[in-house]
Amino acid sequence: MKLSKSTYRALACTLLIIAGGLYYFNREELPPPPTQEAKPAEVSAAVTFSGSSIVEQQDGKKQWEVTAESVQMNPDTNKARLVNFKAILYRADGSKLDLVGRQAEIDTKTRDIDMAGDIKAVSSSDGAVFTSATARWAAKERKFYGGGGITLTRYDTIVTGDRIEGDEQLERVKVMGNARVLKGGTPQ
Amino acid sequence: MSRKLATALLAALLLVMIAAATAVSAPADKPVELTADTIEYDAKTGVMTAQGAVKLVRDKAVLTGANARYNTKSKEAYVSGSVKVVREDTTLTANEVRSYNDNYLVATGSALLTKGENSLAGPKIEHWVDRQYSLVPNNARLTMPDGWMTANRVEAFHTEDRAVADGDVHIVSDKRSLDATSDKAVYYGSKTEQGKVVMSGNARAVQEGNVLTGKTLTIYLDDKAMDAQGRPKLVVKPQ
Repeated sequence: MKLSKSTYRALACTLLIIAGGLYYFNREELPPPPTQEAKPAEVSAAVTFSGSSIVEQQDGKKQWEVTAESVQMNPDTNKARLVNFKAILYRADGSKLDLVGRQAEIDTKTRDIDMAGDIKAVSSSDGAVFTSATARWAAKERKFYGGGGITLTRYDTIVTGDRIEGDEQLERVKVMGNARVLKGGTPQ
Repeated sequence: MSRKLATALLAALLLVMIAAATAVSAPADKPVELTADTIEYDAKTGVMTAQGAVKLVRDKAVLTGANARYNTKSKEAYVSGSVKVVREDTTLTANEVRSYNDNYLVATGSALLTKGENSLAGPKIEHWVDRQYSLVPNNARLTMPDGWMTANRVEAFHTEDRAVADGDVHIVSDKRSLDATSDKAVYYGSKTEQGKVVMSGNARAVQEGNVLTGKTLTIYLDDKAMDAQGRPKLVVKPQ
């Protein structure tokens, strides 16, 4: 929470500096803009960063950490859009869940993360591998959701289905729609 | 080397050999596949709970039903709602089926086991896959190609095509115009030998109005012949 706020403040400051700079450089050459064009909404348009990372900490412990090729922050919605991201969810037992995907949206208020595009998660504790088209990390519930065709492989067990919801360890899961669990043998 | 030490080493060696032999001979777990509309799976406990169009496949057996719970560690399964178990030429249907160690099945609620031309029915059927043995502990009904038999209890030995009925045995064959009763009966349906039913204990058979009684009655399935032993008595109906 602490760092989220500080991240937000930093982003807001950056935004103000950029907006101020733009105004400074443009005011000499352009006629005064109409009142309509100076709406706050336009001033607070999304700001893009490259190679940024966002970290959530609680009581000095990392909760999650996200890095991406680019981050687009929208101060109005408090949401950050990430492209080609890598995320790490830190668990209470010291293990972690490594996530990669093409797109993600982080709600800096709720700390929920919505992900899309070739999602792949690997658990460090047992080597479980999870793949899906879309995924969601619900921070408050500490629950993980997947959709668009999911696969979870752990040891000799393969779980597939349309949708999944599970705990942060992905040990207790509920699979909905064409649910299938294969234990032993080889994948079909 | 002292004698005690030598004995201890020999014992340890034997233990290692036994452990190795056990490991080699332990049967590998067969894959288990569970499909359904919804499955909840707990990797820690190994428990899978499924709802809607459930299908559980293991080895040569296929279980279907509305709901199921399977413990991959204890190998116990519980399937309910129009349950059907198919394994090779044997089909078991019931309202509920519990399975233990992927071998022992207990079917309850309108249970019906069909194998080849014969079927066994009752409120409860217990079936052992490895022994190809079934037991209907009460209100059993065995249906054969040319008739049916009811009894308090029926055991079926499927590989031998043999069934043993106990208590209030009643056999009816419309094809043979036969109605017979006894305390006990053994049905031999083998195709390789002559099929027959051996009825014992207060045996009584009525065929086309003729009444045959005796300690033991043997009804041959291939023809209309009957043998009676133990002070037999035949009462012939006048034509």
